[in-house]
Amino acid sequence: MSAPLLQITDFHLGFRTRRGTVQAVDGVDLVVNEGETVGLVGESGCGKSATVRSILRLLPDKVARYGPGEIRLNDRNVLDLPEAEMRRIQGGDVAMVFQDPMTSLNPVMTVGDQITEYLAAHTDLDRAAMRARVIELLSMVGIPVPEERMTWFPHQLSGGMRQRVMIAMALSCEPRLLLADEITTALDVTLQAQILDLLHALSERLNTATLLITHDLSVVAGMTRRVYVMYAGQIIEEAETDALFAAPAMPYTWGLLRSAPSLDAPLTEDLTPIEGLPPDLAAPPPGCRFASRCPYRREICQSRMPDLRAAPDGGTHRVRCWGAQDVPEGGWLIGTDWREDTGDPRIVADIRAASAMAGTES
Amino acid sequence: MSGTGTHDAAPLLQVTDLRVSFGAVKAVDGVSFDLRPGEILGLVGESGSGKSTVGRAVLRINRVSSGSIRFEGTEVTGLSPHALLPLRRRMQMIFQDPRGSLDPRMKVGRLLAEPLEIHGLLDRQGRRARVAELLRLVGLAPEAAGRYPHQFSGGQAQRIAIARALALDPALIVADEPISSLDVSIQAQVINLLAELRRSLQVAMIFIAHDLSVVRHIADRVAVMYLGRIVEIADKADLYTRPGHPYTRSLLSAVPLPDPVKERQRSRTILKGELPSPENPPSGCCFSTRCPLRASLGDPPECTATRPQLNETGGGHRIACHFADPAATPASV
Repeated sequence: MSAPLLQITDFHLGFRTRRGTVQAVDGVDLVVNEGETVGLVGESGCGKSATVRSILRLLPDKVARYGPGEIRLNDRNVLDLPEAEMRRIQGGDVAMVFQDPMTSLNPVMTVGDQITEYLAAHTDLDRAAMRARVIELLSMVGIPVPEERMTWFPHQLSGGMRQRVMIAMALSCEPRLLLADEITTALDVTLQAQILDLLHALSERLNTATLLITHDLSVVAGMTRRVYVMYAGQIIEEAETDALFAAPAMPYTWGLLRSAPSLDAPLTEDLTPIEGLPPDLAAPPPGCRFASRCPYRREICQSRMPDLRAAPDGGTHRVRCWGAQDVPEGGWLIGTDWREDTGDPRIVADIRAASAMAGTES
Repeated sequence: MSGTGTHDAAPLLQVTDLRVSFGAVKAVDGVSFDLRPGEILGLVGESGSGKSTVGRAVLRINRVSSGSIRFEGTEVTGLSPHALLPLRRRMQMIFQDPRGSLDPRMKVGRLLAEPLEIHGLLDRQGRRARVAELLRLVGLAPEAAGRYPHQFSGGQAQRIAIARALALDPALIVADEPISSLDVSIQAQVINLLAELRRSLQVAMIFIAHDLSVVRHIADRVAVMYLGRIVEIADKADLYTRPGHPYTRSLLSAVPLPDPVKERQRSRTILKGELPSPENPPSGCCFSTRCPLRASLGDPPECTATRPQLNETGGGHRIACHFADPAATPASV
């Protein structure tokens, strides 16, 4: 079997700050195979965007410290590649779409010129062929009257249209891997549905592998085959999408599913939030990073960090949680129903009291 | 129903035919609704629907072009800023970005005491006690009073903004997307906090949101806005189980479900195109240019000829559509 398209192994990333180095990514393993759509889910600050930006080495050199670890693209470690080689990959084999298209588009260049610039950098097409390709790309992403719209500037387009232009640009050189970072977060729900539909159809048609980064589990539900969940710089659960939603193993994933308002939940049900606050990554706790917010925690959780290990339902499902792992000192959550069991109320009270105090220490 | 307001109580707020224009743009184009004491109304719409403008007009932050806003029986649209002051105490606002709404140079204790000072309420001792009380209400420790807003996370800063809004014991809070800028795991904390405050303090709320899933847990009634108008308003149970307006149905259908199996089986109505320019809204029904129902009925002329009224279909459920038939078409989420 050939190597996966993208293979991230034990990747670490630090940010130099005034308070010392913040370990934003702490030992991430992640694989994307050719043509596959994979989700990477987590909240702000969990390290998902930092991980993805590292694939293209987009983080500012002054503050980012890549490694240890590897990010292998087509079996070459991008962390070792020279700048020139990196630029060929950016927009060639790998393209990225960001949350806010306005900041990634050049405001003083027409949409057509921007895509043309992209094509000129990565292809040998002549002027006429490039123009034809721009029109083809714009109509592929559902922009009406592309001959006219290509002469428009970004500010003349709506938010949804701009995001379509970004997707057109990203797909212009037929990348093998598309990195989509919260691409629908700034959009209204009806536009989100349009853009996700478009992305789904195009990645299937072009056989582009996609890494979909989002804070919203619902978004990955319909879009992906496999999902990674990140918390505080680590992958805390990975599974086939169906398995993850049918039997989430890690209490943080339970919490995400339970706390998000869903049209699917019984109408009367109160939301069950995840109490407390995420840990400070400048001084991470010694044990499980979720322990301070976990209503099922035991002594071991606060003293020893669990590894990412096979979950009880087997297959490729892996989880970083003592309670969910079938190991001698753990396993107390195996077989519990996360929909019913919301943990020890005394621990919940402790977590609330601790977060009421957070921000009050000097 | 979890609402504490009864259908018979005199309304706290009565908005009638409210219009707000910015130049040629009719941001709010004839909106009417009322709100009972202690009731939570979810006001839902996409960007450009005018939902925030309604909220801000009610508090007289935006100028009202025409129409009536009665609050506790007093017409507020014509009041001078001076005459408005005593009413201001009774109506407060919470914004999307808590950090933007809290002065970064003031300690939390001052931020919470300031409204009391402005309105000349309580002495120094009393204000200090009130600040501690407010912090307790929103789940923060009394020590928070001595810190600055930037020392708190986004969720905690929103708690501080909520405490400030509560300082004057308001009867109405307009909460404009109060959880949109917060992380998923923190959103539910804030929703539950607002629900709890409504229960304990009987404060009514207009909860503004851009999608229907967020207000589903907290609102008693929900109004859906499109291009400056309310297209449907109903008790929560009614709206989610029997949505009548094709726009409401499309909005429900656009929200992704956290269930891969259902997502794959779902037949969704994805709206085509985007919101028309409010400078040049479609004639007749404002939703006609994108309406899947109109298309399926073969473009009947009524849709573009006449503006549909918000008609009662029973039990306070009102729908602005010439062809809506909620009984015939159960919701398919």
